[in-house]
Amino acid sequence: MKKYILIRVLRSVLSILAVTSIAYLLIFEFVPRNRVFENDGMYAKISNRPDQLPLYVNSKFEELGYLIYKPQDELCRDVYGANTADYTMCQDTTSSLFKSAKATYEAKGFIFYTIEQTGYIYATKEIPVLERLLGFYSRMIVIDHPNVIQDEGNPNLERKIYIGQNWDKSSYALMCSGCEHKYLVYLDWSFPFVHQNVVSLYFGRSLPTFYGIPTFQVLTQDQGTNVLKPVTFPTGVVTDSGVMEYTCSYKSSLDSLETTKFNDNYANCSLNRNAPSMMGTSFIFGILALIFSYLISIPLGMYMASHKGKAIDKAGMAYIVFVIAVPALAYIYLFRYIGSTLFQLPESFPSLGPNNMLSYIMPTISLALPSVAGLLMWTRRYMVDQNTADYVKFARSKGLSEWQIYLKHILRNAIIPIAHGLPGAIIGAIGGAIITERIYAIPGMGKMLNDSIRVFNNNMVITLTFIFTSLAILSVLLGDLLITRIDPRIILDDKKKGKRKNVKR
Amino acid sequence: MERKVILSARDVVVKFRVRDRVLTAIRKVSLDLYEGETLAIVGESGSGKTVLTKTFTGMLENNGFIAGGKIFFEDQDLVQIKNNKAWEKIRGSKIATVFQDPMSSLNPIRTIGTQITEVIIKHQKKNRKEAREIAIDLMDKVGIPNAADRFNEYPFQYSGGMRQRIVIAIALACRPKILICDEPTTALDVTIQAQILELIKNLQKEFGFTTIYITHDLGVVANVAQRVAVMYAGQIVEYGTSHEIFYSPKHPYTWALLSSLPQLGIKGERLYSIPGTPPSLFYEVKGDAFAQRNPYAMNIDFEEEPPFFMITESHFAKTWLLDPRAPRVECPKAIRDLHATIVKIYGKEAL
Repeated sequence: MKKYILIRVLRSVLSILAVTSIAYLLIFEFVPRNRVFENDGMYAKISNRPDQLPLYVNSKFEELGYLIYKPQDELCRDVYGANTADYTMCQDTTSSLFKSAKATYEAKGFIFYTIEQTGYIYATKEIPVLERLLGFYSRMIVIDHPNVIQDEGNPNLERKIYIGQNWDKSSYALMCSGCEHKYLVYLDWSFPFVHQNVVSLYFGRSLPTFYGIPTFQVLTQDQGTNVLKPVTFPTGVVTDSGVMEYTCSYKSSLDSLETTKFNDNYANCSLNRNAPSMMGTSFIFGILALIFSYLISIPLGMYMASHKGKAIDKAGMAYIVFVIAVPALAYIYLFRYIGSTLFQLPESFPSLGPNNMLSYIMPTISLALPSVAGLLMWTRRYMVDQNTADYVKFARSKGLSEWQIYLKHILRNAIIPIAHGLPGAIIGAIGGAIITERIYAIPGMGKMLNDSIRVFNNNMVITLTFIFTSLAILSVLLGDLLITRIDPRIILDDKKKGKRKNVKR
Repeated sequence: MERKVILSARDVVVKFRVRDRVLTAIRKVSLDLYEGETLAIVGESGSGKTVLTKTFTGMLENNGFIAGGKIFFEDQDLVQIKNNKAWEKIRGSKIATVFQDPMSSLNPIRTIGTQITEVIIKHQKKNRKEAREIAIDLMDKVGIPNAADRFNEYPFQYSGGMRQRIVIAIALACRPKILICDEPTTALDVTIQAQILELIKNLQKEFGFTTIYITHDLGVVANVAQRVAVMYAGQIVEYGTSHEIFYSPKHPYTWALLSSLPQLGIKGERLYSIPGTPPSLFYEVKGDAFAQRNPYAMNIDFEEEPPFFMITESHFAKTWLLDPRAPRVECPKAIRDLHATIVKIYGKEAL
């Protein structure tokens, strides 16, 4: 069993990598790279400046990982070191020093270009897509350790991991100097109570929307407006601030305001905002919709099964047929219209914001509708199926009440296939959110995927692909594990040989 | 011989609604069940054996209903019981049923233990611990080795024979007055069949319940039954002691049924089978239902339904052949030789 699960987990990881790789190759091989600039204001501004445009375009391409871009001065610095006499001389492109540097780079496969208007020289080298893919994976898992920060301006940075207190001395944490983050492991009152900054995921930076922020951070950081509250800074200064101390990371140079508050270089902190992150928003909706749909459809499905052919059953079937037959887009708009005209519920999520319960009602209902239909249909079908099973007949002949038969015999058997789909339903709720989030303008992952594809935020698309794939594959695994808990006959094993113990004749 | 009647059915008519049509599955059946006896109901598929016994526990399918008659059990007319609550007091505690297929009679995902104890808790108002003790004792009685260890196992960990033993244990958990065994051994292999029949026999001696066997296996009947009722097309056509039914059957249908015993086949010859098919129960049957397939049928058989003729105090048959005006018909030779054949096959008196 354990071995089987281990193998399944490994297979899952492989599948996730396969899907992500395919998405990566498709996007970076087949989407024309120039389309990244379609929604780029900066590009539009300098598009009539042929002396600057190539420099901007290539620096972007380097950020996106398409190529290595070396402008003239960077080239010289790399060969002769910064602020040396040779470096200064190298800036003259006719000098022998520059020529030898150029020769070195040409040998490495760089191609040199000269900007006609200014005579400025730069070099680029394409990175093969497979190499980029490998680089993507090698950078994906980031582990924070005390040698991460290499800051020339701060050569005396202490390098240690220690247990220290947080700013207002209310709690202890595993802290670090020399790491990217100041707090490695810390406790607070939000789920899951113990948090870590040691291992993080990196999928590249978001471009052009959320410019320059790592994509994973875009998805996980809080949204909305800042929330200010009194904060005691390490220097003892107390001011109203939105700074969240546990998020602080290294910053090489502090400005004058920051030096009054911080006594070390860990001053790059995220701000406390009033709305959950994109990932959080999607999960909230996914979970709400899931609970809602299961709470409705299982009892209702049971009721329909026990009143098969009666009015309630027929009404339920009509609903199921409606939701399955009508496209999701159509009935979500229909329900939104009903909700807003009859119950004055907001038509879009931002109009009342995430802190008003009313904002959640219509999107949750819209999200739950398709899964209610599916679940209702299957619950009813499994219950009806089990109802005629021999063991149910026998249970009835034992004199058990209908209620007991339903709960103890039929439901438990009918629930097996439903439970198997439970983790998948979570994914369904989040995946279905792509439409719902767009219609209600909910700032979640589903809407982000939509937006990212539109503006060619390629790294973000890959990040979201990775997240959705991981959730989907994980859910299949969880579903399999869950039914082994419910159904004693199912034993997960690769081979059939003799694992079923205790079978005696 | 004065014996107490424990259950008595009078003119029971059962009908089913099948797609806007009404099918009469049981046509005026009367039956007395004596306390402590073993009655076998035999007949071909669709003759109404199972449907008849289902009326005793109110287990008719939703489209079926009792259209007439009375069933007396413990000063109560079971036909009058309409709600499930009242039936729950009878089912399992007074009249229990063992079904054909032990493989599917038990809930596959609940432990053997809970499936036995739930019925004890329900009917005898015991707590979980007491019920467990009773259940383990029962498992012992039906021949499960290491009952306490196997209490928490699941049905899939039991073999077919073991499961049927558990089903019997569940059925007997509340010491019912009547045990209905609906083809209890059909799904089991021959060696296990004998064990299960023996088990029921022994438990009957110990607990003193009355047994109704539903079967089309005449071997089972010969083994266990004291009385036999032969059913055809929703009616009992002949009943008597097993000795009478086997050695001096009077109804042509019983002759045909007995002639079909594979044991009577002669090597190299075709096995006997009854020609034709039973009449459709969607229409009213005129005359004797077996007349169409009966080589001894007389004109009256197609005109008028025969009454029961008494042969002995315990033996009745519903055929015009027994009417004094009818010509004398000898029963087939194979049937007359049945006794000798059985002795030859089994090497002993089987009955």
